[in-house]
Amino acid sequence: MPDATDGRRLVAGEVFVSFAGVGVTYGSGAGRVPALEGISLDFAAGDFVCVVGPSGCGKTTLMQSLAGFLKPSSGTVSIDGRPVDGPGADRGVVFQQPALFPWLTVGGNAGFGPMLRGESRAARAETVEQHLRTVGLWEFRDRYPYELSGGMQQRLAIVRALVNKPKILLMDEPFGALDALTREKMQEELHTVWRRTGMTVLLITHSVEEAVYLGTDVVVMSARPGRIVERIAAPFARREGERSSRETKSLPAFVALRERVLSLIWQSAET
Amino acid sequence: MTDSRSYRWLSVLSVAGFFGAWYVVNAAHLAPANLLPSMQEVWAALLDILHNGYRGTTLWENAAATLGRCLGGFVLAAIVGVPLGLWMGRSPVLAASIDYILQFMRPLPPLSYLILLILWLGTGDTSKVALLFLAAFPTIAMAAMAGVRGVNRQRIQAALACGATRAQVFRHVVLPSCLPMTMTGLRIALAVTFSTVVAAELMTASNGLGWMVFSASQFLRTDIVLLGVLILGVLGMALSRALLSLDLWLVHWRGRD
Repeated sequence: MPDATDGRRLVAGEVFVSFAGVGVTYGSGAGRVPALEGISLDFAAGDFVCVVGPSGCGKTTLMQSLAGFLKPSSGTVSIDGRPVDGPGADRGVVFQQPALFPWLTVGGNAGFGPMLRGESRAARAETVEQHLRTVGLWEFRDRYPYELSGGMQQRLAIVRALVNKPKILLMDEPFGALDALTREKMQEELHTVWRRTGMTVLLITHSVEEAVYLGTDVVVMSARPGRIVERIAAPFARREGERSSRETKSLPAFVALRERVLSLIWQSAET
Repeated sequence: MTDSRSYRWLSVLSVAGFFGAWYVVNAAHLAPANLLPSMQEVWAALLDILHNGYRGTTLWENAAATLGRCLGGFVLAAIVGVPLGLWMGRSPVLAASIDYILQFMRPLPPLSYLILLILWLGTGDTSKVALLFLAAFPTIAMAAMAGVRGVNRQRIQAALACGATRAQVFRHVVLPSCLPMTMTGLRIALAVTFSTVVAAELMTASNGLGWMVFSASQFLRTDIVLLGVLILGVLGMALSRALLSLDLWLVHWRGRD
């Protein structure tokens, strides 16, 4: 993977992704349900933005509007200066369920995007190998997704997105279906990839600890209609790497921030 | 599948038990010999038909006639039914326009309208292939349609986020996603086609295994009737297993996804 750390620093601070007055309403007539209301949120290239909030706060809707899977009823979403108009390979997406293609091998899943763009087998082999090696899946390249464990499947789903060199990685509760240990390992791996590539990430999660640990910014949302309650800068993602995950998560500053975010969610759920 | 494999001996045993019971019933004269011929008589009938044919037709000719009609109607139904079903899955307008017709046709016993087809198309193979086509195609089309409608949305979204165009989503996600359901539809349709072809031949034909059984029954040749039934059963089983093998090979992810 190309080392884009310097690139990130150069553009840091400029608006890269912008939600401007975004509202999303589902249904019509008397059955109208506002899912999102007045969302305004900017972030810079290289930011790792984590969105937390009670169930039904529209976190997924927020991500889908940036992915281009749905069109906001009001406001605009833009990335890199261009308004979002439908999905595209510049925004990689990872869901809670890996949603892999079971008829393709691990290698076929990893090379899916390049295959769509008509890259020859030889041309995409190198990229695919590099990515699969990074996540320890290279020796499984000729297996099928259903032969992999849950964690490996989700690694493959991340690879399938990263292979397209997206401008941003959108993740909707990606580790929610994994066991606790695998989840922590995956958090570490994601953190490492982010540090190495300087990629911009939008992560939707139910886990406040995960958000505070991985995010440069934690966005707290309220339920129905989803609004942004507060955006908090988190210092732990850009730490220098000698501290272990467990040590970081038991730092007094970490615990204090985690509790602050949690109480914000509690307050927003009660009102 | 894998669980039942260790009990395969039980399946073999039950077949042996069937033949054993048949033998005992005959040996003990528990049934009139003209109604239930013995195994030896059926075996002799098989050898006789293999050597001398049956009323001017060979066994191969009859088997080929039955298989040809069956596969002809089935393949035609698949060629029309699969694309139509896929299209219906994509287009609610098309689906709505054909929905009642398919729902009307699917449970309809094909033999109930065979006489109409014979009046319109004659007693030859055309009316039989048309009958089999009509018997198989609603099941196939509805299975393919259900396949399209059941495609996992997140797989489509994942493909779109890899840069897929609408056509690419269809080719690389929708089509393979439909495969399990479509193959199931094809397997059901083949079973329907096979049982219908034999029934049609019983009613009107000048060759085919169904005709052979019907003709023999009129001469009270129960040995040939029984032989025909056994051959039909084995043939049907072989057809359905062949399609099952194709299914397991094509849809290797079935039940594991």
